[in-house]
Amino acid sequence: MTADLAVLLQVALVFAKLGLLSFGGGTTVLAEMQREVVGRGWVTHDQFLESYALGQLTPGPGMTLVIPIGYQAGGIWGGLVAFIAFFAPPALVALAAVSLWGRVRDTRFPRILREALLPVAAGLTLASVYTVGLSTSHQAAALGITLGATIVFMCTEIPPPVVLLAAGLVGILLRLY
Amino acid sequence: MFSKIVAALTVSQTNGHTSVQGIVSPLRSPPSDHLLQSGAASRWRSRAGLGLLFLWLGSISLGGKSTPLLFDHLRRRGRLTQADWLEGYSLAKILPGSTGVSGSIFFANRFAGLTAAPILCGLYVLPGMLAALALTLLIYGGLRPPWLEGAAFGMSAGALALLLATTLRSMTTTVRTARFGALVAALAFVTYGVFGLDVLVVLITVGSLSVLASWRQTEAK
Repeated sequence: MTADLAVLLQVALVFAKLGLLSFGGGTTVLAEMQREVVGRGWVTHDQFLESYALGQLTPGPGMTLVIPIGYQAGGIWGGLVAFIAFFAPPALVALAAVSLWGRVRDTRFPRILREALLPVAAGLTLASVYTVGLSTSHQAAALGITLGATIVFMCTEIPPPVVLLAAGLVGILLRLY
Repeated sequence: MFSKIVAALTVSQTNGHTSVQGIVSPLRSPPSDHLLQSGAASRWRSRAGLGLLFLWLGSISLGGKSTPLLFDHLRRRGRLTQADWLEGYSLAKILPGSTGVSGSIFFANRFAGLTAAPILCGLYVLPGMLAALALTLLIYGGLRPPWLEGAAFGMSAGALALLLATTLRSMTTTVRTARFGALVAALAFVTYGVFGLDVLVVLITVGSLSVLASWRQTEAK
């Protein structure tokens, strides 16, 4: 039980830190998250990407991938703790910011901050793609699915869950036949 | 279903002010007991309606498109102006964490006050949390048959594609928007992705440089 609590505490600390550092959206910290959770042995590289896929299949915020990662670290409680730790601290920051917003909304500071954070967030997200992409399976089949799905995402307006389910179907066919 | 929710939302009360479709006017005379009762009932209906709306928006927004959906629904139903929409989205973009969560708190605060905002935000993320938990138990809760292995393999490859496509789109916007955008993005990419520096270090160094560049650019204008 003590060990479980220690794991839950680690899960809480890791995801609270990641949540508070995710400026410009949750995907900016994907690389850091992968380093942290794979480095601690909670999930493998492939399970990390599986968790990301699972997060995209659920409604609401896309970063619900923290639930499967937390689950693999500390069971159901691990999943719930990861979710609360990742979303609650930034929500508290947002509450504080909303209450102070009236004083700064008409100054130039919000616009400067937004213009400054936009390219940083884009670079961090690109780095996340690079890091996650390097560490995953390089089988020809996986590369083929990734390439095909990228073209679909870029050229059509098909909702992501539909494309992901189609990719899953291709995976099933490849595995069974 | 949705029209009922919207109907419940058309009359709402916030902090002693009566709000109809976003227009706020102070109560002019002390209300009678009857009016107080009907006001309380109306407020309760309004809060319940808002709760249902946030729960509904949290249930329908699939595939990481929750934020635009949340904001756009509120705007199209006359609950927000275009300026409100931009203001909420801009604020959400400069805060840490999920844009949907920050945005839901901004709009919840605007409609129902600061104390109700965490509850409405909770309702917004609840469906996603429950769905993720259910899928997690399905995929990792027991032995995985070959078909599930195959599905996980295919969806993982698809998820990488989604991440790649989203990044390519945001890069295009970034390069167009900020003058030093491409340089700052490249610096963040190299330090964080190639050299593997901690995200906090990158935010402090590259983030500060970017703020400085943006500040000077604004000054120059």
